[in-house]
Amino acid sequence: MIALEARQLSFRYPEGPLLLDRIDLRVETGECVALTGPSGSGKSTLCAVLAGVIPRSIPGQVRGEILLFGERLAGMPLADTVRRIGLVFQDPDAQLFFPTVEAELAFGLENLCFPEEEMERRITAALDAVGLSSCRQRATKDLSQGQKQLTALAAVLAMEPGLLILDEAFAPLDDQGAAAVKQIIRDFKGAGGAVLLVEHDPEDLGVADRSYFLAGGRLQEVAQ
Amino acid sequence: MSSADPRVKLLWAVLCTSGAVLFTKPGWMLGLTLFTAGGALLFGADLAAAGRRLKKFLPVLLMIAAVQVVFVRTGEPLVVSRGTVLVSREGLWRGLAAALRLIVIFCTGAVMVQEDSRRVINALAQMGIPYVFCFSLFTALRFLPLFIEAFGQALTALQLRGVDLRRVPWRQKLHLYNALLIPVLTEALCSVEKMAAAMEARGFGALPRRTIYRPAAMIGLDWVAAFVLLTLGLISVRIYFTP
Amino acid sequence: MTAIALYDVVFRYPRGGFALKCPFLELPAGEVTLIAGPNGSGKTTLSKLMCGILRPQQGRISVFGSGIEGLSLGEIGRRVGYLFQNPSRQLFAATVWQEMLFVPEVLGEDPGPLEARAEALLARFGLTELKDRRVPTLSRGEKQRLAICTMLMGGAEFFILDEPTAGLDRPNRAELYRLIDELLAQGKGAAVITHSREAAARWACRQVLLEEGRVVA
Repeated sequence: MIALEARQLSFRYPEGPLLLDRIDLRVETGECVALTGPSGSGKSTLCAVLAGVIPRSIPGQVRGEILLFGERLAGMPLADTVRRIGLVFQDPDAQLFFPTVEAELAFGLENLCFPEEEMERRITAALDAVGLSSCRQRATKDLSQGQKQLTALAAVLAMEPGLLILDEAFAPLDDQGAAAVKQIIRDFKGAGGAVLLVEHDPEDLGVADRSYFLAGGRLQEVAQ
Repeated sequence: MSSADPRVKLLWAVLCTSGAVLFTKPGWMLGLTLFTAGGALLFGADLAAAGRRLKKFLPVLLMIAAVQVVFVRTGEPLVVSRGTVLVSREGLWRGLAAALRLIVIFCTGAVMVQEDSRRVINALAQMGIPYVFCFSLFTALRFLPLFIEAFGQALTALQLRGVDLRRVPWRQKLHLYNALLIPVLTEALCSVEKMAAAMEARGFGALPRRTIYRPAAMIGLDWVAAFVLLTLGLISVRIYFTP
Repeated sequence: MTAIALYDVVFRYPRGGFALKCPFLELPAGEVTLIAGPNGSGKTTLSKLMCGILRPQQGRISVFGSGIEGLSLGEIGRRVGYLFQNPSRQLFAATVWQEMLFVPEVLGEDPGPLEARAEALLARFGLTELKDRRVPTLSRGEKQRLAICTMLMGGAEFFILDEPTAGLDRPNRAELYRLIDELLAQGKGAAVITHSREAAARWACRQVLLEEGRVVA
C-alpha cells in the first residue's frame, strides 16, 4: 500500500520564488525512503508540506496533490492527519513544551482524547523504545540535545502513526541514540509502517530502502 | 501543603494579589505580607531564591517607596524644613505599603513559578476554562522567560567576543542592549512559529475536547484549604470596607 | 603552554540531579582536543565551565594561567572563544561586514583601525565575497566561520566548539574541518565537542572521554 504520495507537488512561500517544482514522490508501507540534498535545497520545507504543517500552520502556496494512505491530505481534519503522520523536526528545543518528559509524551495523546490507561501504555512503550525510561520524570530543560530529540521522537511514537517523517532527527544523537533510532525504524517498517527520512548521509545509516535527491526544486529518485 | 492542588495555590495567589491591590492601610498590608510569606513557605516556595531575585530589584523597590514618601505629604508631619513638610506619616506609611505590595507579588510569584505549568493548565481546564485559552496564556507567560534567557545568552556570546561589560559605561551599555534587542526578539519569534507548527503536528486543537493524563484531584485537605482561604478573603474584605 | 586547565572541579546544577566531576584536565594551546561522550554525559556542561559561562562549586579552573574566579566573562573572552551549537544565537548584525565591526560600533569606538583586520580575517576564512550578504541568509557553515572571525577580532587564541558537526552535510563538515585546520595554522587551539567518529579520525590528537559527568579518559 502507498502510505504517502505526492503528485506534481509545487510550493512557494508567499511572495517567494518557486521552491519545489512538480515533485512526484511515494513512500510505501513497510519501507524507509531517504530524502537527501544539499543544505538549503528545501528538504525540511518538503517535509512540512507533506505533513500538512504547511499551509495549515505556516502560510504558503501549495499546488499538486498529496495522498495519505490513499486519501487527499488537503481538507483532511487535523485529528486524522495527526493520527497518521508523526513528524519529528530538526530542532528539539522547538518541539518540547512541558516541564517533564512524561508530560511531553502525554500532550499529543491528550489532544486525541485517549483514555488514561491507554496513554499510560503508550507512554511506557515509547520511552522503552527510545531508551529514556529512566528519564520519565526528568525536567526537559535539563536534558542534553540528544535526549531532547529522543523525547520528541518518543512523543511522536506514542501517537502510533502509520507514517514517520524524520527531519534530520539523527543530527544531535550519539552512537547509542542513533542505534536506538535505527532499530526503531527497522521495527516500524517491520510492523508495516512507512518512514521518510531526511538525512545528509543516509547511506551511513543503512536503514533506507530507496532514496530521493532534492536540488534546484526538483526531485529525482536515486538509482540503487 | 507543597503538593496542594494547583487550584488551591492559584486561589491563594489571586486572593493575596487582590488584597495587595485593594488594601492601602499599612497595618493590613503588613498582615497580608506576613500571610503571603507564610503561605509561600507552607506551599514549599524557595523564598531564599526569591529573596535573592528581590535583592536585584531593591533599588526599584526603594524608588517606588521613595516616590510615595516624597509626594504624599498629608497627615502628621515628621520631617519639616523651612516650613515645608518633607516627610509625613501618611507618606511614610504609603511608601511602606508600596514596598510590601511588591513583596506580596514576589512571594506569590515564587510559589507559582515552582508549580508544574502543565498541572496548572490542566487544573484550570478541569474547572471549565477552555484548554486552548489556558495553554495560550501560559505559553505567552513563558515567552518572557524564554526571551530573557535568549537575551542572557546573547550577552554571554558578546562577552566571549572580548567585551568586558564591567568596563562599559552606562550609555554604551544601553546602546549595546538596544542593538541586541531586535535580533534576539526575531530569533524568539521564529522559535514561537516553529513551536506552533510542532504543537499542531501533535494534534493541538484537533478535537473540541481533550482528556487529561493524571488529572489533578482535590483531596480533603485541598477542599478545606480552599474553603478557609475563601472565607478569610471574604471576611477580610468585609471588615476592611466596613466603616 | 596550557590554554585551559581544570583541577578537582565539581559542578552541580542548582536543582540537583546532574553533577560533573573533573579531577584533572589540561588542554594545550595550539592543538585540537576532542571531547566526546554519550548524550547527557556532560560535554556541554564541561565546555561552559571551561570558558566561565558556568562556575564550579569546587575546584579550580584556569585560562592561560589565570584563575577564572578573578576574571570576568569579557576578560576570558579575550583569550577564549565559544562557538554555540546554534551559531545564529551569537550573530546580531544585518550583514557579514556589520557583524565583524559590531562590537566597536555599539561601543561607540572608531571601527576604522579594525577594518583592515576584519578584511584580512574574512579573506582568510573565505567570507570576502559574502561581505554584504545578510547574516540570516548564510548557511550554518558560513555562520560558524563568521562567528569564529568575530571572536578572532576580539583576540581569542583558543576556541571551544560545541557540537559543530551536528546537522552539517558532508561539504559543510569538510568546510568546518578546513576552518579548524586554519585555526591551527594560525597557532590557535581548539576543544571540539563531538560524537562524530569522522572528526575523531580527522585529528589523531588528544581525546577526552566523558561518562555520566566524569572525565574517564
